[in-house]
Amino acid sequence: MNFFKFASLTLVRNLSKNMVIFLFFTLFIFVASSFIFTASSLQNSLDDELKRQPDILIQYKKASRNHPIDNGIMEEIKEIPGVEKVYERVFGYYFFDTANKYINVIGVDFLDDEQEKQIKHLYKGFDLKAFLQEDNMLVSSAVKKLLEQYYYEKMFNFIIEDEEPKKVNIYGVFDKKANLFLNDSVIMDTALAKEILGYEENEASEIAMIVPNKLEIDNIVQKLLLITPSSKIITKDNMFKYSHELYDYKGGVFLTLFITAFLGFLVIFYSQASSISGAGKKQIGILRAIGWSINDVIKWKMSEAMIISFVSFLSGVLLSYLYIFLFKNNIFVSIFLGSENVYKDIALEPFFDINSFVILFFITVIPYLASTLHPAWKSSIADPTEAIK
Amino acid sequence: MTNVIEIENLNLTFSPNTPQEFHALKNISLSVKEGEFCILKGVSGSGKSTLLSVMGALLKPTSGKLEVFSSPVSKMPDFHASTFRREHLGFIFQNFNLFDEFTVLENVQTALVPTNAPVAHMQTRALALLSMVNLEKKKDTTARNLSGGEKQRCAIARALINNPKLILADEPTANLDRKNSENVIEILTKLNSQGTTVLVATHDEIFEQMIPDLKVIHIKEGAIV
Amino acid sequence: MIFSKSLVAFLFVEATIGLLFIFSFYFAYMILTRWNFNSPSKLQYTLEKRDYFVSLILYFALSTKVVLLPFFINLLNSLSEKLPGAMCAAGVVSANEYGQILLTLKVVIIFISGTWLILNAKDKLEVNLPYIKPRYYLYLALFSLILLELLIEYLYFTNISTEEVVLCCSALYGMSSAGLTLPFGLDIYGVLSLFYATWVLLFLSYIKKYLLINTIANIFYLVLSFYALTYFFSTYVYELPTHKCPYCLFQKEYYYVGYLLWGSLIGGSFYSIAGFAVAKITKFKTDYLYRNSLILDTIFIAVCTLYVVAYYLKNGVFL
Ligand SMILES: Nc1ncnc2c1ncn2[C@@H]1O[C@H](COP(=O)(O)OP(=O)(O)OP(=O)(O)O)[C@@H](O)[C@H]1O
Ligand SMILES: [Mg+2]
Repeated sequence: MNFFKFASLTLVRNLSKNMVIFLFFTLFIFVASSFIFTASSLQNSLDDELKRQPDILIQYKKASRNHPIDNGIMEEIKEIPGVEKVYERVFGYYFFDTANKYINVIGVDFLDDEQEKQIKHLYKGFDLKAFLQEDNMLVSSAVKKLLEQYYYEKMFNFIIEDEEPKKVNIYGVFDKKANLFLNDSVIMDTALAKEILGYEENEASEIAMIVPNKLEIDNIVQKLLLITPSSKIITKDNMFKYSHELYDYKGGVFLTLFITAFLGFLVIFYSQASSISGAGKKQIGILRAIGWSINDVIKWKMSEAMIISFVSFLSGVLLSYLYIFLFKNNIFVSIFLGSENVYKDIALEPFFDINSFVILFFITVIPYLASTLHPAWKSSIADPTEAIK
Repeated sequence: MTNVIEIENLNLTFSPNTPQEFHALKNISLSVKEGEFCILKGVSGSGKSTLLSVMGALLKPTSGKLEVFSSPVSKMPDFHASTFRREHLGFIFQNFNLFDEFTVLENVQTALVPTNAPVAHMQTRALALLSMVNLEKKKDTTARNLSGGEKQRCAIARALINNPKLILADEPTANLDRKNSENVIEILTKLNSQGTTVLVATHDEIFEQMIPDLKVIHIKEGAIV
Repeated sequence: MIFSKSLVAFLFVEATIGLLFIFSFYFAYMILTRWNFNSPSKLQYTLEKRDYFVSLILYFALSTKVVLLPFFINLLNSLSEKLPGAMCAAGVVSANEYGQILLTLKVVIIFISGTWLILNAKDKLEVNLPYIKPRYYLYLALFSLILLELLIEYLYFTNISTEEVVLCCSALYGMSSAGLTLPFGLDIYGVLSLFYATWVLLFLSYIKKYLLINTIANIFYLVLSFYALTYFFSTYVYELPTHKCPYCLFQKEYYYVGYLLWGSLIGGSFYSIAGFAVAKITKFKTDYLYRNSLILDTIFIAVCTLYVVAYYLKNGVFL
């Protein structure tokens, strides 16, 4: 029998007393760990998505809101050496007023290989010819559900200002894996999207370009600034940096709140642990009489604290893993993505970010152990004649 | 024969220089020789338990000389005092002082935890002692469910686990009936006959009735009489 | 001010340790001023018990600091993502004048608290705790360093600007760098010969038990290793003659070998210095500490050499 075995025996035999600490600790870990799993899984999927994005985007902002951009400059951009391809992108919110919801309409040029490739993996057995023959669209499962509520089973009528309603057939529902980014979206041909969103022929939401040699990007950005000085130019690096900063910032704020709450728990725990009961004193008196030293008692108490914190930590992490990745639409996703718009149909991709768990370990287990040092020492120096009285 | 315990002019004052000051041990001088069976007799409150605690290095005296196996135990820092207690002394108590939630076997092994002894060694040693006190059949019983006599025999096994040369017992028979008291005394006599020195604090007449060459030390109001 | 999750966690743990030290300071102060082993007073008995609390805190602090050091290095590496110009921790460390001081201080603190704990263990083996005074003077030093470390951590992190461009490792250690030059006016082959020669000296002084020489040689070895690793061996790890950096070694691309290399080097110096200090203060033999030191120093030199040999076997040429 060593100190760990002994500690596990004393813990198990006094289960009811230790259960409260254990449950609280596990609950704290569960919440924090759920947050971390959600954040790092979202971040990871976002990174994957960003990797598929074009290298440079040009947007036109008016009063910091996206405004249609004139696609005439594409001709000029094509001439810049290093730019392999330039294309326009069209997207925007359509207000479905009967349901009081917004639907994100995305236009895709299906005849362009680059864009067609991006869409292809969303829908199995996609038949391009049939799709383009009529006004068709692909919808997300969430939008499909929304439309069905209003009895649009096969098609939907988009209301356009000063014009006849535009009837668009629902060609199919795209893969749920894309729901994280396209949960409230429908995809259709660019020309059709422009019509629905009220864009002119020569207008687009943004202009995208592909630059195979990453070293040329800075150069190209300089040249773009000359062509359209008033536009906002976003590089892929900017997108990564911005998304990482946002997540790190959100994570930092959460962490600070969490630490504060956890400190509260520790204070309560500390005051409870520093008052040693009569039975506790007696126990220590017995151990001291049969030859345990002060240090031995400390080792026993610290082993208890380690077992409690390690077991709680592992159970908290395990439970949250199961909760986050086995149950769809958990509340943590709503915290991150908001929940105003359409019904969410999102399952997170399992992702384990070791660094985050090292952080979680540092801010929970270490302070917990630190808070047990004084109580452990205090009980170890309890009057050793207690057993003889 | 050598002296196992040697005490000269030992004093102990609780809460000195306060209104609660209490002179619990007054100028005590005594010695216990190797292989003796000794009882410390006195009424309740006379200081028997206090004296045992001092001998066991659980309590520091205020002044005087105290040597156990020629070691100045009261001057040792905790690490040495504890090691000394573990290796040379076995404590037995009036109210048994077992860990109620532990099994008999676990209770006996408790004293070995700080030694880092191999598991197999602990197991064999504990089982051997349990068979000596006739408890091997109950080794997996929770201590709470034992009878008084069984509890005390388990406590004796625990005290013997490190093979001590001196046993200090504080009223070991006070909570036992006649039959069980005899049982305990038989075990103690057997150990004594094998060379272990035994010192018992008690006011029970049964020791004088059962043990022929018993050394009796009388203590009254903290002083030897 | 720079901000990240890892940084919040790191500062929080550091503050926790600082708090524990402040908590234990009163006890330590009492022990320093009122200790009298032969007194039978209650105070003396209380002080003996308090000594256990201070030991416990130091034990906890050292274990945490040892775990925290690689986390800190990793934190610096991850912060390089946020600093324009930085490719690895080198740029982050050199972002202001406190970075290098902080790293050194961290190693010194680990050295002192490790020595303290060895001294403590020896002290407890004696029947009259004879080394308590040296231990608590050492504690005072440690206490001041811990507070200083917190202050420097504060200054360091609040003075990192995310706007200013910092230098990357090739600018700091590469060909064009003007700042750092090799010591004693040696060229790199001089440093290498001295490095191997010092290891031989370490080995011989251990065998012959010239312990003072061993410790001095160890300090020398630590300094030489820094240069040998940065300017020579690291290029073999990166397999690129122009890439010279002591920090990129910690990155995933190089299988985190930096942790092994720096860990063994710092551990080796620690054991030798602690061995000397403990032997000076106590009457105990510290051969086992010197043995640990030699083992770790040897691991360091062996791994470094292996990289060169492996490169030669693979490519048939040296860099
Ligand atoms: N910590 C203490 N502080 C003050 N007085 C104490 C303390 N411990 C014991 N005493 C006093 O010392 C005296 C001796 O106590 P002790 O427990 O040694 O008696 P005892 O002979 O063992 O009695 P009993 O037969 O009832 O066990 C008692 O009067 C008791 O009140
Ligand atoms: Mg009594």
